[in-house]
Amino acid sequence: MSSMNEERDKNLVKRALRGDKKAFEMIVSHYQQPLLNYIGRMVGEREMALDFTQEVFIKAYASLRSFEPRYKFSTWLYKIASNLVIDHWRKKKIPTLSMSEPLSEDSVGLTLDLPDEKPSVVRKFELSELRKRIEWAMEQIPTTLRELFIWRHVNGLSYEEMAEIKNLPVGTVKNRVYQAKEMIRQLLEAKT
Amino acid sequence: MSCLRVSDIYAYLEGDLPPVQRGTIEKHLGSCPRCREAVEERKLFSAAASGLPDLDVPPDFTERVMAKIVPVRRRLPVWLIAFAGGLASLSLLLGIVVIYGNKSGLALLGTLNHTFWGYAKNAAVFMAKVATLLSFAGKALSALTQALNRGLGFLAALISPGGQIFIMTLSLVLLGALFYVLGKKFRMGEKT
Repeated sequence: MSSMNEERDKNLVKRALRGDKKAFEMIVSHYQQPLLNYIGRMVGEREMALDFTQEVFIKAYASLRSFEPRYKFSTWLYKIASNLVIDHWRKKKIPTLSMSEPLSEDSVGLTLDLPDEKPSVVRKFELSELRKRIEWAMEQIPTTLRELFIWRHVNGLSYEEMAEIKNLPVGTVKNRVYQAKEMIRQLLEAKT
Repeated sequence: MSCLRVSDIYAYLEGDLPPVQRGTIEKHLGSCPRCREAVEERKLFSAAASGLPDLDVPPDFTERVMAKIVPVRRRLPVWLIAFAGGLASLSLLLGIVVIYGNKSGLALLGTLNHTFWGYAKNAAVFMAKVATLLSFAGKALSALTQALNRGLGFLAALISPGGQIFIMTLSLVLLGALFYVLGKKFRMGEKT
């Protein structure tokens, strides 16, 4: 399915490069939802998220010739979106954690020798309530961890895709996703 | 084995562990209710996190994006650029021959009294001769043409479409002038 989407995207890009606007319209139609899901949760404000999503497509279209078909179009698109979001954080002077900077494992409890014995936080709430709380907790964790968590759990990207977007080893990305999950879970526990 | 590390739990749930380690963990889970509960907790958490709802995309979002898209500038085909470039080079070369061929400007102007049909006939004869020559030289030039093609392709990426059209127009003008001058100079197909 994924390779079918890849082929479809590459054909649409070819057509768009020949001046076929309808082809690019199809690309927008395919990716507007996943990109808004990602950007919306990264910037927090709906109108700004819509503007950013729009800008991702405009930038993608303007630099379509620089897209190399040996890469996945979707990861290229997420890379543009990620750079836009990082620029936004920098302009707003929101502290961001460098992806190459190692995180202390203790800070997110990944080195706990024993799993805690607290009652299950996920069983305490109805699923919809739990998801609302996860959305809240997501906003509390460092932006770079949040980004990977969203890509993994909201956008369903593979670790390899995320590693390609962030230009990091797959193992580092996996570890960061585990840390993000555990941080969110701990925040949920602390709030109840 | 001792109780599981949290990172091991996530790696186990993601199916990221080698079979031997996975087997060891499963054996431990069979005898440790605390770790079993910890695994179950994170499994439920991951499932809840993976079902976060989509953010609402406005129904006219695609249209809004497309309204802001500036059409891709279409490139002229590489073969056309190569052809025009080849003609321009040829024109330039032969122009130099004519200039250094002891023919004054006034003498060249004197050729203007030719009739159009006479000119066309001369041009056709000349073209036939050139075509014959080119057919012999074709094989030898193919490697050179390919290299030129690649080079011009690269140049085409740097030159705007307006510039490309200007170069082609200039080439055609030079070619026309060349035929005219050669027709007079060599008097091809005419009695002197």
